[in-house]
Amino acid sequence: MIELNGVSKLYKTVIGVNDISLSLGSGVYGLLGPNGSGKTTLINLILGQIKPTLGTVRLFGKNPWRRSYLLRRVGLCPALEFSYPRISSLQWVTYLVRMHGFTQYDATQKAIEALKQVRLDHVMHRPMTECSLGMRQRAKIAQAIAHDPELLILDEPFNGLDPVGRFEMTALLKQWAADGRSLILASHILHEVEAVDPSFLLISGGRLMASGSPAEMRRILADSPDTLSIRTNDPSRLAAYLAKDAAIKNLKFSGRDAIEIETLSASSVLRQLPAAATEAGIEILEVISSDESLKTLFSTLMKIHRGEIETRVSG
Amino acid sequence: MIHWIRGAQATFGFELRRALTWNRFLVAVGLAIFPPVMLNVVVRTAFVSNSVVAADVTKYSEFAMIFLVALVCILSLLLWATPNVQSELEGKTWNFIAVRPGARIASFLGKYLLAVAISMAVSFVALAGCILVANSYQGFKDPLKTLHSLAIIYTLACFVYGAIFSAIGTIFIKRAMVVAAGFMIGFETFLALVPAVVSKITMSYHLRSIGLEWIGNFLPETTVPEYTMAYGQPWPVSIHMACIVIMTLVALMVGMIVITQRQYVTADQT
Repeated sequence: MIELNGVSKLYKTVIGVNDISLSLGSGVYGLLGPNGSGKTTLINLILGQIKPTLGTVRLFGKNPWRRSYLLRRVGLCPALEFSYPRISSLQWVTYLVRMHGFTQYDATQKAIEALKQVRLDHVMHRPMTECSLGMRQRAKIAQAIAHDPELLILDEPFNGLDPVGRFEMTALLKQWAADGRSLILASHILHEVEAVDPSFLLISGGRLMASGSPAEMRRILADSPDTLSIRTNDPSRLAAYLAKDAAIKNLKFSGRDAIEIETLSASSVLRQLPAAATEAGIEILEVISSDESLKTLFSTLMKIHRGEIETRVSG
Repeated sequence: MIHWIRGAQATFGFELRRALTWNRFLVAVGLAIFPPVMLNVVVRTAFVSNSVVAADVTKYSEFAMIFLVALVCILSLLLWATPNVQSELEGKTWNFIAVRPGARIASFLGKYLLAVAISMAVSFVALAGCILVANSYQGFKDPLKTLHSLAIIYTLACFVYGAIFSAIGTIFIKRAMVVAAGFMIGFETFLALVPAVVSKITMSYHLRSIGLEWIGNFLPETTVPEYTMAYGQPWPVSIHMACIVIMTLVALMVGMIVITQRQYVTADQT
């Protein structure tokens, strides 16, 4: 479906993406990266909106640059925030569907159907400037799915959505994936993407740092430096038991019933806990990975990239 | 091709709906009534000072119908045709449009046609207003013929300058309007008045020549023989029209090529 070979994009002296090679078949992908990491540039390259400075891009087997007919098969929801005064969601979505070559009648029907799918039909005649950020976000999703594309690309789709909206959006995307259609979900928040259970593409500083399944990502996280907070009935004995592990960098007591462990490999510590419970009879009440976030993951990947940590990561 | 036509229709309708605001309506009305109001003020002032003769009213009317209406026509085109890409990039709506097949060209054509339609409407209202004002002071000679001739000339002007400004809008994103205004002043005004062959590459020369053929001399302080001596014998009207049509098509073509080739990126997309 998508192939990039040694793709780099320079904006004068600023690198947008740097030597990215990947091959994506049909499926669900989470494009993860901090703000400014090159996610949007990568999406624009895939859609042929910009030309790579180096390398080649293929979308459905063809170079997307100047082949805008390929875009009939793609729906994009950009992260950009905008509003049209006096224009309703229905008018806007209808207009964008008509740009695909549909007649006014067909476009209106498709727009209404899409707005129903994102549960915006009850306010579809309301001017967009009078809609909340979440409603406008749903309208943006509607314009992306209205023409029934094969591949849906969403850039930060959860922006502005309240918890109920997020839940509904996740359900919609899960249904989209369950229908066998492809999805690329770009975000800087791990758990939002994780909810759709995609394969991950991790991008930082314009580079593809890693790619893999959710299980592989969890393994990377488990094998990476982390800070664990463990609540137990006997912090001293547990500290003594775990201190034998060479992976522990730092250990400190936190209150009367907890210890905080800074470790080079969270998984090696976690593996010892059942033994501590059974052999030493220490009661383990709670284990919290205080730092299991995208930030940690990227910091780990950067260290792997620089050779500071050895691990097996694809990508 | 069908994508372009349907897309251009959709853009025309959508942009027209967006344009139907009081602000924009008042701007259009302001432009349209400016020439007749100015003409009325000038003639009334002359009457009050008792220094006006019938020939003066004709002269003032011709000035208003040709130069003031041309001014509002160009201003309207500058406002509507030039920011075709800039408005989408600044409004952060470009990416929603550009990711549709053929939509760049469709959007370009739709906006161009809307700019032409609005500018034509403004020019015609201004023109009709001037003729009504002139007629109210003295019987204007052949008002319908003048209206008809000038309406065609302004229609041609709207199409050709609309195309040129639209093309400029695709090339110069940040200061398209300034560049277009500079083009009108430097190229289409000063160069067009240079009494040499070079003036024939300007569109205002061709529009002026058609006007000369249809409604006679209208350049102040010049007679037809003087004009002919300076600019040469005018070509047949059909040749001037062909030049205008060709320039329109060339400008549209340039605009379409640029808009499809250019990598437009909004500032917060990198």
